[in-house]
Amino acid sequence: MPGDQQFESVLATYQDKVFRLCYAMLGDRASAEETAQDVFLRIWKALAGYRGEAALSTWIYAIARNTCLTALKARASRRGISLESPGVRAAAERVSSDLRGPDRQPDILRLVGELPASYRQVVLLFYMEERSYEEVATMLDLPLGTVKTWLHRARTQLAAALVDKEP
Amino acid sequence: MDEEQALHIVDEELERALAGVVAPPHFADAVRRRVRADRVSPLPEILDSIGWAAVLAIVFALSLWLVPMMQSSWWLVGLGSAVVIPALYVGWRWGGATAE
Repeated sequence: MPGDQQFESVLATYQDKVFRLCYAMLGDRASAEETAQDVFLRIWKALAGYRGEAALSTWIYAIARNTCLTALKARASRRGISLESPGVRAAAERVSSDLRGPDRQPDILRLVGELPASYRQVVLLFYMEERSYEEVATMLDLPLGTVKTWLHRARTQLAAALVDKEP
Repeated sequence: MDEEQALHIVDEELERALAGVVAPPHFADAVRRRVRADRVSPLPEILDSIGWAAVLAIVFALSLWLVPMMQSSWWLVGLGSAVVIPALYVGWRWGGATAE
């Protein structure tokens, strides 16, 4: 079917971009993979109604951001429930994001995990997207100046943390 | 280590850790599986069609049973009476009322 061909083309073109956007917003690969699959399921359902008012990439990134926000809300509400029970809370802490996770992560990623969410998203996407400010701004729907400012602040914080860690 | 050196290390390490991050190799297949599972099943449409076909078949069978009855004389007498008697009654009442 023509719709299937169009979807296959979208999947081939955007799977890495969408995965990286989800990884930047959610902070761990497992959630990113699951949520990126949800994104493509939404795209598949909505593709017939896409009329080209916005660029395809803009449309896809908007779906991806909304899906990630839904996943973050679900995660936050699960954590909210977990606060009522110390045992469940401990379990929730164990499965929390890779970036703040165990020692197998490089130090720098653990430091990135400690940044505010907005800085963390910009930093992760910037280095995953071959240092393109424009691409990060498009994917996160942020002004270019904001991306540059947040990135500068994030790098400065990371550098300061590295200096502090120096013996 | 001064800040400039630290920034350089930050860039190098983030580059090393994050450059080349791509979706897992099985990702596209997993998406296709989920899309296939999510496709609307044709079963409700098929059952709906069977239901309507059954209704039409019943209507057709009933018409085969009713049409011969409609052609019999008793049916015509009954139908004629149902029209003529009320017409006579209404005519008699209306005519009588205006005559007075």
